[in-house]
This record gives sequence, structure tokens and C-alpha cells, in this order.
Amino acid sequence: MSPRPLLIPAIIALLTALFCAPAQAYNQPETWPQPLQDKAAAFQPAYQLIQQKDYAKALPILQQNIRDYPQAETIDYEYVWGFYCLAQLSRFQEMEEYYAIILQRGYTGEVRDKVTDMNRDWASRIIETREALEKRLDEPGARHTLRKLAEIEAAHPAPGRKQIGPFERCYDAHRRRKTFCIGSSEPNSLRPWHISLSTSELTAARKWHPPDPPSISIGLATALAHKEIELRKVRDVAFSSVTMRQFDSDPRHREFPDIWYYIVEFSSTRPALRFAEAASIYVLMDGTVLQPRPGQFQPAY
Amino acid sequence: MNRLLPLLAIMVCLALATASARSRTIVSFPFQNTGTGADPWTVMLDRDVLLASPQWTDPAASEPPFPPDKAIQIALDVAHSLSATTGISLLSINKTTLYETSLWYYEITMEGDPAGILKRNGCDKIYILMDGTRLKPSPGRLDAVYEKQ
Repeated sequence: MSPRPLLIPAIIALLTALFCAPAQAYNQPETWPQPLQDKAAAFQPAYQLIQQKDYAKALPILQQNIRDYPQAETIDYEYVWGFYCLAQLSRFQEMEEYYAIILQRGYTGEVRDKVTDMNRDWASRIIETREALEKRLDEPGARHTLRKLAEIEAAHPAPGRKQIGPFERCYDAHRRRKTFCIGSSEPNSLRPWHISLSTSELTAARKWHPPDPPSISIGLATALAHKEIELRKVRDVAFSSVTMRQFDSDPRHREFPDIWYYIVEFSSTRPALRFAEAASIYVLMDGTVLQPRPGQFQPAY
Repeated sequence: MNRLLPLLAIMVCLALATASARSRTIVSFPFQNTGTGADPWTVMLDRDVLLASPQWTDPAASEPPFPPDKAIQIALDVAHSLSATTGISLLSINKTTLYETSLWYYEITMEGDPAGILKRNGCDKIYILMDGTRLKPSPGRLDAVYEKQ
């Protein structure tokens, strides 16, 4: 067999490789250790875990993809879903970094996917992330992160961005909040109740600066709680613990600093009701015993 | 008589096993776990310390035997000795029953700690008994310690 018929395809292949290599290098930077399709395949297990609400296992996969393919055009998948997972896992501070990167990458609400040739719309995912964060606003660090996310949005204006300002609007609404929930019944309680404080109550509340002695002592707070239990005619319960809790437990951003209150807990003495909802009495630092209000808490603006 | 010998042997073995179990006196046992998953710590409680710990006999009419401001100061001293600039976010007095003995203790949760210094040292929560004894954490997940025979 003559080698000539093989020579022409070999030359064509060589020329193709020489001329196409710069274009390929432009689209796929050298930092990519795998082709684009491999990156998409690496994303799939994380996506399946997110569908199963296993955010703790999904997030490390997304983070590994970010490390492996930092320049990938479709890395917004990892950042946006990672942002969503962080909110679900209450890892608020890390959300700030992710959102800054998402907006720095020129996110406009829609991205054209070269692999699937479909439009990707991240606006709805970011709104879902905001909703997850809104549900956790009483957790430490959440309100500070909400404010930071609003600042990040303001620092990255994009006229074409869909749904501008999900966090700005949310932070704005939060600042107009007039009531805050400090305690509530269990989620499935047959008789739901909540204990809330208004901004005027918080402004007027007596403060405490630990380690100074509190203005009303633990013994007095506990005695007031015992009297309240008698007034409410709660039977078959015994004192189990007393807690001093800071109202605004966010160390980075406090709207009402140094406001503390007591929670005096009573547990059931009847073995059959050992796991029933405990009776909790809330006492402010001036001795005011807070009364529970019926129903689920609805913030007032 | 020969038929009863195996039964007698079993009974003797059981009696010896029971006696051995009774003489296994506990010295120290895991009370709380602190730290992180990667750096676990165990707060151990000695049986002698448990038995000697003061009681808060009448919470409805008396103050706890150890005042909270002193407990907070102990917690802050621990944090500052580890170079952590932090305050407290939560203080609770809890009661638990261990080996038929009531134990009252402070559980103080530290706040902030962005560098994770306290968590790495098992001091993100600090446990103080009602005589001011601070229960110190030891590295790792530890098991109960029994008296040597």
C-alpha cells in the first residue's frame, strides 16, 4: 500500500491543528484542565444533591469546580448555585464574596449557554436565595450580610440586569420593620404563639453590659417566672433552665446593642409529656414579663 | 449431682461477672463535646467534682450559688488568654441529672471569633460549675475513664 493517500489527510490535520489552536486557546484558557463538557458533567452530581436539598454535600463539589475551572465561561452555574447553598446552610459571610463575584462577572440576569444553546436566567435563583436569607434574618450575621449584599448591588449597577435589587429592596423593607420576633411555639404546635418586641420597646428597654451585674438578678428573673407560671395556671412543670440572650446577636452589625432578656424554661414533670412543648417565660432587664400573643408572627412595617 | 455441675459453673461465672461490673467505678466521663468536626474536643467531668458541686436548691427564691458576672469574667479571661477578642452572646444556667446527682452549671457561648480561635481550642462554649470550677476541654473524642482494678 502506497503512503501517498495517507499523506494528504495528515497534512490537512496538521494545518487544522496549527490554525485552530490559537482560537481554541482563546475560548478555553490554559487553566482548564478538562474540556467544557467535562466541567458540565462535574456539575451534575452537585445539581442532583441540591434537588435532594443536600446542600452540605453539594457545596464542596461546586467549590471544587470553581477551583478546577476558574476561567470557565459557565462557571456562573457554580457561583449562583453555591450562593444559593450558602444561604440554605446559613453561611452568610461567604455569600458576600460569591455575590460580588457574580456581579463582577457581568451578570445581567440572562446568560446564553454555549453547550445547551439555551438562555440561563439566574434572576429567579437569586430571588430564591434572597427568600432563604429572609427566613433566617434572626440568625447571627444574617442582617449584616443582607446589608452587605445590598451594598454590593449598589456598587455594581447594571442597566440590563433583570430584577434589579432583590437584596436592596429586602434590606429596605427590613429597615422599615417595626416588630421583631424573639420567641415562638414549635412549628407544628396546635396552639401557635409568639413573643415580639416593637422598635419603641427595644429603644426604651434597659441595657446590660456584661460582665457587669445585670440590673435584675437571675434569682429575681426566675422568681418572676415562677409567679407567672402560677398566674397562667400551668401545672406539672418544673424549672429547668434560665438563659440570658442578647436580642441582636449579630456581632458585626447591631441595630439595638446591649439589649438582653431572660428566658426561663419549665419542662413537664409528667413522663408522657416529657417531649411536649416547654413553658417559656420571657423577662426583660427591667423585670417586665412579656406575654405571648396567639398565632404565628407576622412582621409589621 | 454430675448433671448440676455445668449449671453451678454458669452460676459462678455470672456471679463473678456481676461482681466485676459492680467494681468498675467511674472516675471521669465525657460531659460535652466542643470544637469542630475536624478538631473535636471533649469536656470531661470527674465524678468527685460532680458530687462536690454546689446545688441551686431553690431557684424560685434564691440566687445561684455562683454569680453570673464572675462566671462571665472567667469565660472572658479564657478567651483573652487565647488572643480572641470576643464578648459573650448567650449565658444559660442548666440543670442535668448525672448518676442520680443534680448538676447545675453555666454554659457560656462566646460570640464573634471570626478567626475560629476559640472553636479550634474547644472553647466556643465554656462550662462553669456553681463553685467557679471551669470544666476544661481535652483534645479528641474521649471515652469514660474507670478506676484501675
